[in-house]
Amino acid sequence: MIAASALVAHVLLAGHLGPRLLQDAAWTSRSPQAAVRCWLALCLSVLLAAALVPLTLAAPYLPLPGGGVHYGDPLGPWPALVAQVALAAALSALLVTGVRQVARTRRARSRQHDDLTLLGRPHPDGYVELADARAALWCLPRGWRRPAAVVVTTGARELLEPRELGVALRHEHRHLQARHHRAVALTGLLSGTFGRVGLFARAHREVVELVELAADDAAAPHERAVLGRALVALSTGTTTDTLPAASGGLAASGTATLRRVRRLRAAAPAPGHLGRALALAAAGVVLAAPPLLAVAPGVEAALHHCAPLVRA
Amino acid sequence: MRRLGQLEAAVMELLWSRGDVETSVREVMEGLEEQDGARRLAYTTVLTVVDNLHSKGYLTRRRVGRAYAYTPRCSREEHTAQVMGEALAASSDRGAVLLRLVDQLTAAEVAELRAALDEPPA
Repeated sequence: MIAASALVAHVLLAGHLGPRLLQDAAWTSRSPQAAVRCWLALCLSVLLAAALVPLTLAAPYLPLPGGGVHYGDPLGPWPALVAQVALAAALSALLVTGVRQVARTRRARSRQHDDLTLLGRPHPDGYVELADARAALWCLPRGWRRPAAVVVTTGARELLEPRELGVALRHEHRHLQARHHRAVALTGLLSGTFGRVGLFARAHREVVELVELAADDAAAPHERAVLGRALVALSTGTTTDTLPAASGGLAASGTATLRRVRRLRAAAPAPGHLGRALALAAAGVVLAAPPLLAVAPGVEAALHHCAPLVRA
Repeated sequence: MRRLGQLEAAVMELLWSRGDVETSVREVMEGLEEQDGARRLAYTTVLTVVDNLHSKGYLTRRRVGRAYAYTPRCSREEHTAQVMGEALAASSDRGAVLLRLVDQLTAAEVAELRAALDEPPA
């Protein structure tokens, strides 16, 4: 009961305080990659703590070795039962949406790879060129037996100066190298499954933005202004009437791009090793907390209150 | 031997160049041999490649006599437009399939962006 209450408190506290601490912190813009790890740790920690609640509630009903007797549970078996059912429901929901999302992503990605094989022309600079006048640039993570690819449209190649194209390519290669799509897919899965949990929705929005900042920093440590110009050129180049109007999210993406361009105008952020180390240590603590909270009361009780086991 | 993907691309290239003309597997084979000069491809290889393209939805087919005749489902340009549409769409599970450099913006946002380029560095 004590362990379960502590875990519930952890879920509420981490779920409410965590996002607030992370969202407005200035260091997340300086160390976006560390911030991504913190968001992931926060999400997994809350998920883990919530999953451990029913398990700790069930502990008093498990048979003890040697026929010992548990402490009585003040509320009886009902909280444990309800929590078990809720956990089973949540886990199956996660499993169903997870399997569905993985299948859908795989299908769409393999389709994109097929399309590229048929339509694209490999360029010696390590990208695939797609013959389209609209300027766009994106990366496609590796699929089954297909290497990852960076796609540049003819429009983008003609629009960008060679140096701009170079940093834009490095940005995309950084996404692939750092497996940013996995972080995005994970938070996307959580926010898609548990849409009502504000933490997950916010984590997804933030991670989507932070991976771009991380790739920006890695792509252009010394050519930030060049990358900024490339971003502006490309977002201008894709604004044509021939494109299908995208629904929603436009304003959000506009502000996000604006923020990136402003950020690239400023000098490269100082590496901030200490801050990053602290952030990662905090992420570690947050992740370790749920299992520790789950077992701590039991361990404490065993140390102080149990009669020594006497075997006949 | 060319990799299967390259062979698929060559077959599509050939069929796209023929437009809406229905083409049999044997004609595809002959067309590829013309392009490649001395290289000979086995009939079954070409059949497999064409059948793959059909099952992936790139080709439609109609039974003519004892064999099938194939045509591209859509032109090269239409197909490219579809790929672009998918890549640029603001999809609900964004970022899972692909990550693009920048999003589409409205004209007002673009103006703001241009202005940001001229701002003094913060």
